[in-house]
Amino acid sequence: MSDGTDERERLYTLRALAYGGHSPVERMSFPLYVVALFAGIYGVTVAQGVLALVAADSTRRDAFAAWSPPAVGVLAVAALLAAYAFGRVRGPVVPDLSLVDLAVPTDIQRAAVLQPWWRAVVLTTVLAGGIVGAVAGAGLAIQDLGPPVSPVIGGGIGAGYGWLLVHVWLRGQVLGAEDAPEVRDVLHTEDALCQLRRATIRSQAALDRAVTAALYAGDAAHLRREASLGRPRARQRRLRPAGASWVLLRADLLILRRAPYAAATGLALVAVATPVVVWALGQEGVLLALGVGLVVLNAGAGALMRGLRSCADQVASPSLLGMPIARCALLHTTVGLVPIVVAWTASAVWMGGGVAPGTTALVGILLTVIGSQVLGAFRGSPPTSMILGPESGGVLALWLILPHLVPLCVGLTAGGVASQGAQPAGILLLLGVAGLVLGLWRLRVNTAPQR
Amino acid sequence: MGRIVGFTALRAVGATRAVHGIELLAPTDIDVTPGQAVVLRGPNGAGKSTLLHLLAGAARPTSGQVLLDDVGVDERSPRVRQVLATLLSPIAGYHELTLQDHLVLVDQTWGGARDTCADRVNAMLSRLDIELLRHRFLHEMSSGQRQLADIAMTLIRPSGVLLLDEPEQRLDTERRALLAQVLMEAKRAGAALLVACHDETVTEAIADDVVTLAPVTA
Repeated sequence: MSDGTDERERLYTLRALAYGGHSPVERMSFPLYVVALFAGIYGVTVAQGVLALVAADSTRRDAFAAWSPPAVGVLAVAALLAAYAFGRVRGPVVPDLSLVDLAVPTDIQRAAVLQPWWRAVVLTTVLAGGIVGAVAGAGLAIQDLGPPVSPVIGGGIGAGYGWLLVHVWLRGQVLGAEDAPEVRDVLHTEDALCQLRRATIRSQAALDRAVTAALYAGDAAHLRREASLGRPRARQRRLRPAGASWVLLRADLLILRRAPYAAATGLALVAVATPVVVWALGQEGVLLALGVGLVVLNAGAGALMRGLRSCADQVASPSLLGMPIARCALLHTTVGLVPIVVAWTASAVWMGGGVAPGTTALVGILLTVIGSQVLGAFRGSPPTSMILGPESGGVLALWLILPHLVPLCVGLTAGGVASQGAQPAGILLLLGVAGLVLGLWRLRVNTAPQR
Repeated sequence: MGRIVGFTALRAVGATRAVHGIELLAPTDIDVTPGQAVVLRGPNGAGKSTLLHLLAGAARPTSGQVLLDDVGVDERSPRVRQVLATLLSPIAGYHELTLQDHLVLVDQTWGGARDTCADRVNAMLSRLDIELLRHRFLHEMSSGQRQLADIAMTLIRPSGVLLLDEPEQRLDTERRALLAQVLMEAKRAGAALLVACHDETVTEAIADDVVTLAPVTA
């Protein structure tokens, strides 16, 4: 049997073997320092720039004062719920896989084994919350929307919220496992750590490793499969025969029925972003709104096009379905395009926009979304030469966000044209065609027989 | 088994495959005609899977030719896709669709009649003895069940040639015997079989011809 001193010595030996004696907290300190530095330099600039839009006139100030507290409250509660749900898939306490196999099965008290990782993640979350709060507070203070001590207050609130968030996240990890303990058994953190099952920690550590590897390799398809969240619902629903094309559309609807959160997220993003885009097309000097609006719209449509990505995952093997892969891919985009058209029509009617230029712009945006989504699904892995160079981290990040850059570039360019007083519909159509060609080119490259 | 699609011959003529100068397949000749079963054998690394990928038009031969009815094989050609049904690696499938949904999807996209779709799906599930799996999602199956599901998705579509890479993998003895029966039925119906297989029983049951690939030496 082991006593406390013996356990500490054994744990120290394990850490010394694994990390040369450095604890997870020590390993996290430098990245945190860098993040704090960047937040101080760039975060405050961005925060005060965004809040300057609010501070510009009294009406916006009043609206901000009235709406920002409940909005922040709703977002804070939503983030807590999301953290709890996320804990089921990837909790805060996930040591390296080798340590899970080496240290967790020993007779050392589980809480003691896991404490170093728990402390590291608490420190990270509390500091991150504090930084976000301080940056937001600084922006408020600079724009005279809050008292001069706002950075201190914001930092304190942010740190406190970070502490709360990470504790809720841990409870999600413990209570989300099979055969979970009662809530009263995990109220104290040490008890919660003791209740973590090895199987849960191991599967989450394995997932963590696989996702990290996919990120390092820039393999978006593998990343998607590994990080695939949620269990399909509505098993009792059936796919009915409907002919070659219609059955694919029916399958897409069934997929959304079985992935209700993805469907709700996609529809909500489309519903929010479409009026913004329609509005921005009729304004001058809102370059950023069109770019950001298109990125959100594209993300919403993407959440609905789950079938497209499943279709792309099959390119490694010869065709399962009886149609060319390009036709299959384009049919899978329909489920994301229809809500855009509906939301667009409703927004145009609501805002009283002109129909003819609106239609041209709509077609351009639909082509942009198709091109971006097909590019995202079929981009494949980056060339080996790109991931072996000294700048590989940046290149990989660029590769992963590439599909989102398409709508951003299209939106910013069209917004730039609009800010000059010209009609952006034509350029949207032109860039939409270019985006589609880019997407179909990647599809062709990735589905060609290997040379 | 789906409808049989007519063809004359699938041939590899002196086909080789090398990647970055590493030889994966030595020059190979092979010829398959309707109703004929050829089993590929050889040690690991001999090039069985590589040869099947070349015959499926998923990869191009470095030298030599792969021809379907005297026309070069390319998976992007509709005619090639109509004739060749392949199971060379696990089917990725759709995360949110059950096995029955997949079978309906495959059947319909390959032009199956709507009113008889359910009959074909039921017959396939029954023939492979996987009726209990019909409402399972693919990720909910064991590896052996998954292999049977993949075989069902491959067999339900119309085809003239079945290119299968170790279809007996992960199946128990009983299921291997069932697989051999099902493949024999496909052969009798007029389909050609080109199967990489390490199982003696399945090979004996189905093979008209056994081609043993020599290990690649380079």
